[in-house]
Amino acid sequence: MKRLPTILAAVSAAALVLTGQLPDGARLPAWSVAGHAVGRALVTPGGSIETFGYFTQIDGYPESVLFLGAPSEQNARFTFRSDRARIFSLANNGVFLLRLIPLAEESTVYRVYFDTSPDQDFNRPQTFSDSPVIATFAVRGGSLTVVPGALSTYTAVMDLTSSHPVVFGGVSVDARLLVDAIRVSLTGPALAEPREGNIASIPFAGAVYAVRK
Amino acid sequence: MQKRLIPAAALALAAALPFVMGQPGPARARLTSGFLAGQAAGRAVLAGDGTLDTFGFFTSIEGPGTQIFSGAPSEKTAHFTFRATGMRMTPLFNAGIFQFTIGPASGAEVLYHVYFNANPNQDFHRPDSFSDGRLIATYKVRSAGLTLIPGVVFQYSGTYEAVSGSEINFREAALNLAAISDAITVTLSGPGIPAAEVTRPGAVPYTASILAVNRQAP
Repeated sequence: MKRLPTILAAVSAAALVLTGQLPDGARLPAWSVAGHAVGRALVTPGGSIETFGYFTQIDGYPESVLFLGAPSEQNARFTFRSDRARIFSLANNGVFLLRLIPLAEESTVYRVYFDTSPDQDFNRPQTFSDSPVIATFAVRGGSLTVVPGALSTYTAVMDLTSSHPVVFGGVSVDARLLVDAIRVSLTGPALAEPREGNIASIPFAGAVYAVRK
Repeated sequence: MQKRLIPAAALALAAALPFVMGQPGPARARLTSGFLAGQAAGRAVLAGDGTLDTFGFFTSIEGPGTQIFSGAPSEKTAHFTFRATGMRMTPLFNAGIFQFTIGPASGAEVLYHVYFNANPNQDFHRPDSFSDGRLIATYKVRSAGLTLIPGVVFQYSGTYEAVSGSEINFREAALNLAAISDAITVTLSGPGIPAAEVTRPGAVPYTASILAVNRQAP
């Protein structure tokens, strides 16, 4: 019997995926870990933010599918990038809740890409979005909590809004077979206001959970 | 020899397992996915060869709740403990933070075993004391990863599938962890060790939350 399909993921990290040992047609169960991701958030002095990165792990996918060679951003086949959003800050006695409001569309969109010849570079964000889109996720609700001097945590739920299946190495990748939505939980160092004229690059890493409707 | 906080370790987790049951009579219904099945505390110990040993105890389990100790709650009096088979972590560096993927130190998979000890006497300095009770459930790690913000915090998340379980009677109630959910999702956190200590032998404490995961709605 063949390994099944699979899938994908997304997000700010995000994404999902799929596999093989699941019963026929079974999606990832709700609340299960669909994958893990690593990336960067770029924050402008004007208060906007965008994120991009790659998947370090997707449930059901062997490392040989996720990476072309040793695991790294350069070799990652599954990448993602978000629309830019505007930051609105709510202070709470030293802790900040940042609401991320879409700049143009109704929702901030995360696109997941599959790159058969990866060559990403964190200093060139466009390298994370220069391959075919295999899934899109619309942020349904999310916010970023900043504890100054300590850490930032981002939590969001994203609806799967489109899936464009691909087949790679005999493995089918189709997000729609896997999840209805995802919950993303990311952590990084405390977000800092970028200096005038500079763009701050904040590293993050975290997990993506399956959500079923 | 002075013990160092460990590396990376961290992580892993532990954690796990949950659940149990509790009410007398017919087998209890499965928990809804996302339901808090239990909470735990433990240690991750990194050895000189780069392998990680994680173990700990449950502080609460859905069903019996927090009445799962033989005396004042502590690692020493915990009736339900767990320990994982050896694992190895592979780091990915990202501008000052780390993400670790987790795989078996040997063999094909990482397993978490859950034990019931009617006469507990665990000691964090004796990892074997967390695995000398009666084996009541085994979970296979399906997907797991750990994020480390050096000097701040580490966070781990993983989903484990139940592969076996046996029923026991605890406080006059039937209990079979593996019958409660198909899998569990474990999230845990602990102190973030400094980047310079990521590969040094040592031990890291953590606490964990365990959520039920079921393929079908109960």
